[in-house]
Amino acid sequence: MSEEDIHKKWVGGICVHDNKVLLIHRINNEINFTKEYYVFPGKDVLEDETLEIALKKAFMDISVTVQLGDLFYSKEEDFEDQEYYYTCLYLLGDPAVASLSDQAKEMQRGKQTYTPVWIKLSEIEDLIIYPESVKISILENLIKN
Amino acid sequence: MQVDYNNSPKEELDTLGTQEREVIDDLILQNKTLEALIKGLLEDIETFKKDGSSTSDIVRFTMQLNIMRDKKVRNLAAINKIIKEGIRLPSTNNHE
Repeated sequence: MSEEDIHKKWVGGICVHDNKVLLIHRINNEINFTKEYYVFPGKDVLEDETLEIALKKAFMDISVTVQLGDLFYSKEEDFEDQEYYYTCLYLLGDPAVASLSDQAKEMQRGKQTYTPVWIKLSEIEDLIIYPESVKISILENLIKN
Repeated sequence: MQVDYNNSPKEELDTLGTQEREVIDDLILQNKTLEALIKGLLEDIETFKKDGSSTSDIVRFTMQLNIMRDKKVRNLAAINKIIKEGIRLPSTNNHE
């Protein structure tokens, strides 16, 4: 397997509506630790998927429909996973983990919790949000402007 | 009887209050968005079929398509209900 093969591509969505951003509240109850944090909705991009299709699936998993906007942040460094975050226009839906999603299956195992929530933009500075570089970019670009 | 908002006689729509009109306008706008989403999903499903994508993707997008179609129908029903009730309740009229 070449170096390139093991690198993943990830796509995430920055969905802001009514001065709130849609995040996934995560509680990771793995064997030796519990960790609580937030992430942006998103997923790994499979080999045969476009970024747009992958992002649509990610939002379907949390019962929200969005329209894909512009590239907001990307990380395409060599020898690392690639990450792309797009702005997304909220259209429809109340955030909730869809019953057939991978997240729902993982939650049934009892080790992980995924809760999609709207968080006020004014509150994100104090939260643990991954990736932090995207959070900083939001603070610098969306809130201050 | 179904009331087609777009083809309703002007006098029927004139009997609606401002609030009802705003709700109807929102629902119509939402349905236009839904139509665009439905079109996009249909295209995605066609692409999946052509590309031989996994059945789970087709099922997933078809389920989403059905949710959008259902939402569109419910919005139309809500529009019809508002128009009917707006006409029956003159007290809600709010002519400017």
